[in-house]
Amino acid sequence: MQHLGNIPYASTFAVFATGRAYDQIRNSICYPNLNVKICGTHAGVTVGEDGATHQMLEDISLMRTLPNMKVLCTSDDTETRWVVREISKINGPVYLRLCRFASPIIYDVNQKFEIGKGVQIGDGQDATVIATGIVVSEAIKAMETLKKEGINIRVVDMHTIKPIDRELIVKCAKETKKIITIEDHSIIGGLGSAVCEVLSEEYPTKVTRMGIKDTFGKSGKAEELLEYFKLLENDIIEEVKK
Amino acid sequence: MKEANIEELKKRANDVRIGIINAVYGAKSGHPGGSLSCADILTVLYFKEMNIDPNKGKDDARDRFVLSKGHAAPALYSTLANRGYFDVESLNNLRHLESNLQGHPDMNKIPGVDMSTGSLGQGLSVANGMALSSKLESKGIRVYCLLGDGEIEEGEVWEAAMTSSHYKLDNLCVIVDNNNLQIDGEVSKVMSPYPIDEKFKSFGFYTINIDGHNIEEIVKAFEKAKTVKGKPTAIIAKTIKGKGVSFMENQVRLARKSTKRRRIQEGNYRA
Repeated sequence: MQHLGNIPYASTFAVFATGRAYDQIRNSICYPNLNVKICGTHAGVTVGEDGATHQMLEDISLMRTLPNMKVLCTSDDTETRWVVREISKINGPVYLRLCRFASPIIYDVNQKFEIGKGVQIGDGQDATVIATGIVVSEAIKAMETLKKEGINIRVVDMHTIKPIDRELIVKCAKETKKIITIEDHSIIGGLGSAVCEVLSEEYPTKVTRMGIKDTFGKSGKAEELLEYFKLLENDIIEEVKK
Repeated sequence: MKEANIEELKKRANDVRIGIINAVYGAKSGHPGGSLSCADILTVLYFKEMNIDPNKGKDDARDRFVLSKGHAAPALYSTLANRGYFDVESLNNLRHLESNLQGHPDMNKIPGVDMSTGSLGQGLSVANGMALSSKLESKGIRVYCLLGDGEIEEGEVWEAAMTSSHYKLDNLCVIVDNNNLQIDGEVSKVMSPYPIDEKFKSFGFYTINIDGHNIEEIVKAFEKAKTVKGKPTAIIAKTIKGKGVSFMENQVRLARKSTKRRRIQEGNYRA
């Protein structure tokens, strides 16, 4: 379709969109640099009861390594509405990661976003929590709770994982005492790894990566799984206080 | 266990259906329709056809079964539980965080499951490997693989089908659960796999068409498959999604809908 001028948006479960079709994405989309948008839905453990086979925890990692590919992962309805249209303006392959679980609305409809620029929320100096996708709202809740205890952190919604906002990551590492990353994805190869790559090259900083720790998911309710894999507000608070 | 007769098998199939309903009701999610459509086939396999023994779970000489349509896990779990691999009561915990009964079959967590499945299209490839290995080692093991009719839209199935006949895997028996419905609608409208029997035939299979809810026909088809030499067999079983539960039969949306609480509580089903 792209050959004849349409922009294909292909969508299915993230596990199939990026896993099953990896070779085709690599050799028939990224290598020829075709203008194809891939929307992987039902990403992460929050798929819930379907269990490990359907819980994609490696898609950011797989897509991020491919030349020409851009990788985005949105955190709420407003941001997703923006990004679906915005990526049509990019001439080249894009992977958009979405989840199944209903997430709270974070942004006002007038919020401005830019591809490749993380959204900094708050300006606390005690820690930066860099989050992507469904767990951004948990990081914001943690920020608000900690504020009442006199601990001031900031949250970065890193909706673009590639190209990542190097400038913002380095700025936060310089301005805050701690860097924590969190994602509903493996800590290997995802947001956490991407942040570590930037900091190790530009401003060596200790980074704590929260996410799925080199294991497959399992069946359960989405809320229970977020708790089981330690991806909730309380887990972030605990990590900030360590 | 004494070989079950037709009447006993029918009763067993009913028990398997009750287990499916309880499991999906307990999970409040999952795939009752595609589980009920293959309940009779699984019952015949585990209560008559296959050389298996729940007391010798990992016995190397046992026949193997691959549930390629892994989302019918409730049917496999209920069959295994009723066959004595584990407690029938545990079916109620399907898909719960603390349960070993995952949404899709996990061979490392669930007694009696020969292969972890769930990502559609891959089971026949694995069954080929099992059947080929048995032939290479002259082990005399038969391998059964249940495919969904929506699932055979996956290209890998046909690469695997070519492989089955290339290696003359006459110890392999494929069953297609042809309930005619997949998650997005009728298979013929989504991406028609028809004619299924002709396709398998042209890929080198011996094919048998049966009514997948007629226990006698299922038994006879498996008997026939064992006599076929030099090629694999594909049994195309015409089935009804949700078979055995009046308000579930032939419902597309049941593909992912859990059982309706009120009707189940009222016992308003005829399993």
